[in-house]
Amino acid sequence: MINLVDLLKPIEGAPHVVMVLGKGGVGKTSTSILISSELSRLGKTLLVSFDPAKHILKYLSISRPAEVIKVSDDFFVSQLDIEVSAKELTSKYSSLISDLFPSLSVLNLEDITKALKYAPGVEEEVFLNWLSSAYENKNFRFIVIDTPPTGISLRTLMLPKLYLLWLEKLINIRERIVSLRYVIAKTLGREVKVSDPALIKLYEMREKYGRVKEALTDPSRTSFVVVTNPEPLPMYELREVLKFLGEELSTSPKLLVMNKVLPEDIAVRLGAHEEQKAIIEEFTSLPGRSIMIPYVSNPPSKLEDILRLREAVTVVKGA
Amino acid sequence: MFKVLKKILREFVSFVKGVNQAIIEDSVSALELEHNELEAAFLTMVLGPLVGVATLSPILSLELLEALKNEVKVLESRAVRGEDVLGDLMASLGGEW
Repeated sequence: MINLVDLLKPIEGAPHVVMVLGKGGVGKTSTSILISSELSRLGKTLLVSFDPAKHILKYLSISRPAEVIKVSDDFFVSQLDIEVSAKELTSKYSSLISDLFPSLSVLNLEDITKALKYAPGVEEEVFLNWLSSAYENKNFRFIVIDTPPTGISLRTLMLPKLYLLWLEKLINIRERIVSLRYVIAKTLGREVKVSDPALIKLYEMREKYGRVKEALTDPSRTSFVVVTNPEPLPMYELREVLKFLGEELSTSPKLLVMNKVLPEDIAVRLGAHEEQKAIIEEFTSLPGRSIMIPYVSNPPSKLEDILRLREAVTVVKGA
Repeated sequence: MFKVLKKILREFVSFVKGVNQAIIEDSVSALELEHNELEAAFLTMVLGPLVGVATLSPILSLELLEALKNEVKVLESRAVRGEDVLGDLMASLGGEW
């Protein structure tokens, strides 16, 4: 039987975050459960699912989403609802806006606060906020993330870099404003107030997103696992994810997973043999470690079914 | 003779002080103008996303709001005066118009 942990090394960072990426329906949740179960033998592991289909609730018989539930000794799980979290986040800001600027109602702008949860980037922000706190979480040795759809995940991974660019610009302007205030006050002999809450907040934000950016590109702190199927669209998405990780984060996945590989006789019978063969050839030619999981006639519906998949895993390229 | 010299010298010192004061006032006005412009640019960038101008992420802007409470009030009061934009511009340039 293969050792999945060996394929993810180095995993020194505490907590070490494993992000499982891939197209919807390829088996990200099953792979995440498999990896979490293996990692929990080494230390306390939390599996968090952002999967909008909430498959994990079914697999692990969980009835209370959002809560951290103990599955076995060191294996914990939580299902997050990105829409609910977005609502919570924006309602916090909505009340802040209403409290801070009651005059907005005069300008008829208070409706902005109600529409905030639909603002572009809010879902990504929820994921990023969670990710940022995950790296600070000292309660777990490993955190495995069953990611939301690829679009949201990749945009989220891009955000720290983008935010840092914006923050640098804002900091430059703000520093100039504060220094001008200082010079004007000094010249006119007024009392000088050096500290500026906005500049302090900007520095804090730069530090926060800088830490996330650094952690994401550090292989000892973050492992990327990309799951695909022997079909054209999941393979296309795999290539896109690889390109993104290489170009934007200057990193590569620790492990590639080819899931639901049809046995040869069934593939021939379904007329999918040639296509599957070509895709698997391309998959095996990709750099890095990779494994294959065969298609099972009864889709896994509970934890035991998924854990049994481990026996059928074959290593394409090892450490 | 000595009294005349003293008077001239006193007047010269007053003249230099006056020039110095004028230079300081002019410099401060220029600095204040730059300060106000930068403050307006900064607030436009931060508040833009809340009114549909995608200058940065709405969440970054919301995170900064509390720290900018007082400045937004100043911005609002400037907006009230905003009816006489030309007058404001001329006043900021100094001199008599």
